[in-house]
Amino acid sequence: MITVAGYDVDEGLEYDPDYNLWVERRGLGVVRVGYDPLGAETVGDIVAVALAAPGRALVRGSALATIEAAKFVGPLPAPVAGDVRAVNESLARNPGAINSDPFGSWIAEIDGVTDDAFSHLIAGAEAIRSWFSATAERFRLQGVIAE
Amino acid sequence: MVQATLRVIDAGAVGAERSQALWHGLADAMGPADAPVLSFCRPAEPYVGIGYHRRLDELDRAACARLGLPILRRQIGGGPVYLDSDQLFFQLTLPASSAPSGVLRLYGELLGPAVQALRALGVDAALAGVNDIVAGGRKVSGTGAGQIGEAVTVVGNVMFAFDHERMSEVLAFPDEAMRADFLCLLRANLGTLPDLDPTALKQSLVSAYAAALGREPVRDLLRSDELAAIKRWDERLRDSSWLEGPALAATPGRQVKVRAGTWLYDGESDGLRVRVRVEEGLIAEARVTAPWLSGAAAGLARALVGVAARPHSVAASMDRFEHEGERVLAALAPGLVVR
Repeated sequence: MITVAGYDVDEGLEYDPDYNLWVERRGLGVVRVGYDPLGAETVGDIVAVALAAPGRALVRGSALATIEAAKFVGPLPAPVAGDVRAVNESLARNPGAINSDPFGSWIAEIDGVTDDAFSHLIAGAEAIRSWFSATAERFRLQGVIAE
Repeated sequence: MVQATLRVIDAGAVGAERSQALWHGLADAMGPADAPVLSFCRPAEPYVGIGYHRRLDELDRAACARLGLPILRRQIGGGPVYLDSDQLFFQLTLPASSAPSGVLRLYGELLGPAVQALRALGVDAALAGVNDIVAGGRKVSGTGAGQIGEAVTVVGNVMFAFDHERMSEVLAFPDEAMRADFLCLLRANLGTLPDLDPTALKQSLVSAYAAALGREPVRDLLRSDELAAIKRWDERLRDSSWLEGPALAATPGRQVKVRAGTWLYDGESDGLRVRVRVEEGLIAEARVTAPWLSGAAAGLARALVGVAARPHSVAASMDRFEHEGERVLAALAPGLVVR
């Protein structure tokens, strides 16, 4: 872990800068996905998660799950295209774990991910530090996260 | 320079399904470059609405059927609500790319105009919690929000009158005592604005949202693609699989929220049952029962009263009761996550 803007960030993962999601490569064409700490904070206190059924085909941006926080229901967009391989069923019973432990709370596994699907992700400690720091600053200026 | 517009669509009194399909369809049809839409409607007939992630077993479906109340699932959050023609629905729908990011900021910026609109009409309204609109210490508008397609929509109702009894009738409770407690809490915390003129309220909302968004309000009709999307939503809302909702884990116990910070919870763990009334975030009343407890039950309940309804606060209050305290915490913990 590295500390950036007051947040612990796993530099061993890759990050989708549009959706504030982490992506972990777990073998050929298989990834795990979860919210990064900024995503977990800005989404609000999560009270419900409905996960996509395994086998569902996804394009980047299509809903991997629906999430509810403060009576707001929104899609959790897939950071990469592929097929839903597995979902973290424990989140259905304890959705708040996403807020309290974003790196420990994987949401779904996607397989059939091609190499070019990773091209927009941010990887490597220095790139992650630079991107995360800028994003946190922008969110603070917008009032989305606390000072 | 031509000023950007805020389209205003007033659907008037519409059927139950259309009162939901209207704004779902408007959102579904919205493109990223479209102008925001402020829409209004009033349901011509009563019905029960339920949030996207809520289980139907929170409702007394037999009572709904007996009372002739259809049940409609919406694609925004929150719990079951009784809706009827004494309420004005307003919805602001805008492209997701131009919606404020972060749920707190979203509500703050997009419900602020509704508060201003009420204040302009002499109602001492304020935003309470994240998204309740209150006046005179009571909630007068329920709200919710969601992303539907490429649009974000924030919805609210303003209650000119409210049938508290009917609301308590349509919900499922473990016993009638809890239903009675809920009705008391509902009467104390849910207010109405009977003196408001609906036309004046709509005009005030239009002015407030137009000012907040810096746009010129333009009264408009539905586009053909919007009408088609609304009709698709009419169909979807009638569909039994849509009504069933997504697969959701059963939540332990029974929690019924009245407004932000105020709810009832009844839970059981390992033979020990706890029922609490939470007001303004504090446990105002507690009852603990278990076959093996006698005088100790009253002591456990007393220790809960006045405690903040948060896991660590409840855990601290139960610490001295050791094993029985742990059992109380296990029974109560699911009820401290406010949905």
